[in-house]
Amino acid sequence: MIYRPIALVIALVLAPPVLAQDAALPEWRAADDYAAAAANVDPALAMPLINGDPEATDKAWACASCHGDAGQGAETIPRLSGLSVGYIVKQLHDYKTGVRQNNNMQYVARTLTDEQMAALGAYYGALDAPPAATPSLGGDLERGRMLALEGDWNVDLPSCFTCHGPSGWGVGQAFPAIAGQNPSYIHAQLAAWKAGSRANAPLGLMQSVAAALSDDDMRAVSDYLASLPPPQRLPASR
Amino acid sequence: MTQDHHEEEPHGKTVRRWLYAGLGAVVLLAGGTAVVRTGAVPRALGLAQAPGATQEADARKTRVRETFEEDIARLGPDGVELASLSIPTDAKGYFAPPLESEMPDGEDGASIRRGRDIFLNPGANATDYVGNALACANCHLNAGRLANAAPMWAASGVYPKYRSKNDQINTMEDRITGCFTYSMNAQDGPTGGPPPQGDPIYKDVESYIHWLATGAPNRVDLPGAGYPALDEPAMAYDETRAKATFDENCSVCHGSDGQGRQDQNGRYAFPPLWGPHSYNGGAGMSRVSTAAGFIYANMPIGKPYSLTEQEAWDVAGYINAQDRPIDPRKVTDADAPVAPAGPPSASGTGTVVPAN
Ligand code: HEC
Ligand code: HEC
Repeated sequence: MIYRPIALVIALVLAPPVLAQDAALPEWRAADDYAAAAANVDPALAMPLINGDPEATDKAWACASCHGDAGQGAETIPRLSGLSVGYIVKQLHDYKTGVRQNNNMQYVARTLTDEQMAALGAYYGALDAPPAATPSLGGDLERGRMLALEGDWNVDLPSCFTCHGPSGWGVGQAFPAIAGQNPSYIHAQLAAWKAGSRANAPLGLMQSVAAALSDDDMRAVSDYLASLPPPQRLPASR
Repeated sequence: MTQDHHEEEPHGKTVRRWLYAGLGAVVLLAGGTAVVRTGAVPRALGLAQAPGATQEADARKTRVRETFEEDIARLGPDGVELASLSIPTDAKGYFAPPLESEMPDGEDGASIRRGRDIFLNPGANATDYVGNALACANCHLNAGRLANAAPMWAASGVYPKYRSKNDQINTMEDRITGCFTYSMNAQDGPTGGPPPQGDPIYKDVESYIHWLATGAPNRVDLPGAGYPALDEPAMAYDETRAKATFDENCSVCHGSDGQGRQDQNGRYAFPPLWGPHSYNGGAGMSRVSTAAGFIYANMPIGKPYSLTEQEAWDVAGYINAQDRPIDPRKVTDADAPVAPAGPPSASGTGTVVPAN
């Protein structure tokens, strides 16, 4: 059993070349490509993973056991419903390859096939987002509103909505919705980017954003975003 | 599993050394990961933004603006001497435009606010005269306040001014007419042209622009005006190299096809860089040198000065080599289709001096 750490070290040493594989394509293309692939997959494929296999004795790793029946999440577990399909699938791939790190999600994603990830993305992407989260971090909402709508150009920070869309409902596949997301989760992600432990944004765009934020600012903007409605599906769209 | 043997056998000792080495590596790795996760390294290296830097910069701006407002309220023989009035500047030494709280009430404030709304969203607030998907604030960042992104406070005191482009003295209204005509491609808008002379749109936009310059010295070429002028590029334009730079640094936001990106409500988040919904061939941004300066100092958004000057020249050339609405001064047939722009040159001046 003592060999296991050694294997881990070896695996970690070998990992970077594996991760560098896709370097030729612009990295954001992943989200677009995954979304296109997911369009041809039957979301029903995802159901056993989401609710747990009725035959299995261990249902602890069913998505719904953590992310909730409506994909709403809680605290530091994100709401998945209403996120763009390509973004969701990209995150699952990032966990699987270790580009994004989180013990729970890396464990969950390690055995998922490309097809299963596509089906999971299609399922959650099509799910209506439940009502907004609630601010819970004691952040300054007015400061949060400023950051979301205007940015802070003292530190070269564009507004969050420059990239996440005029309502924070996301733009295309690569820029996820952040409005109505759980505030503890947003705060944890901003802190992870600032610390360098999440580093999977195209062009390092979120690293520069988070680097400019103080912890007060992170709480302010997380709480403000939580107070907004999550993405609403328009009758005409899709 | 080696438990029984390694006490006696030299072979066992080797194995044990390896195991300790392995364990040591794991401990170092775990420790290192923990250090990285706390952000101690960037902090120690001074890379992370010191918490509060932005609050300090804000506080400074508030202080200088408030001092300025107090001083001008007491100008006169018995109060503040004119010569002791100082120009409000920000932490970087650029002119500090007025704070939101300095916006006057009443009719003046109402006009300034309307002007700001047009500036941020002309498609919605000056609909009749806009023929594309752009906004003034796409190129004049932070609502016309950002230094080196053609800030309005630096343009305010420049007009009236002679411009060789139309060989006449141009007022601020004339200048804004040019913006609508070329940058906003008014020819494809509902009325087919810019707002008529004297239109309230000009009054409101000018109210906003001149308000932003409150306290800036008049007719002075201020630091941070316009976009930085870059040296001529070292390498000549090469489409393959330029396209690769574009794909890598620009396409995530603007799309590989340069057509920008909209949210699910159809509102543009990232502006189109060419094609029917972008600026036309007479716009200032269609001049490669202007675009290169803008890009170098401001793009990708949130990562200013992250491209090399060469990369900025390359993508500016690439963007301006694509099809866009024709310069209306070149249109002879009112229904002329979108015409391809000429091949980009480094100086980019082509046959027509761009209008704005
Ligand atoms: C044990 C609890 C748990 C289970 C089970 C779980 N998740 Fe997660 N999930 C989390 C946590 C916690 C995070 C946030 C991780 C982080 O901070 O990176 C997360 C993050 C995610 C994200 C990233 C979302 C974003 O906004 O970036 C996706 C996508 C996701 N999970 C999908 C799934 C899917 C699909 C399943 C089932 C196959 C699943 N999760 C099962 C706990 C869980
Ligand atoms: C320059 C563009 C840009 C700006 C400005 C920006 N973001 Fe992002 N953001 C991104 C991109 C791209 C991603 C997707 C990262 C990925 O693929 O993992 C992202 C992801 C995120 C996520 C992760 C969402 C999730 O579900 O895990 C959060 C939270 C976030 N941004 C918050 C913010 C906040 C808050 C601001 C403003 C202070 C902001 N962003 C400004 C580009 C931007």
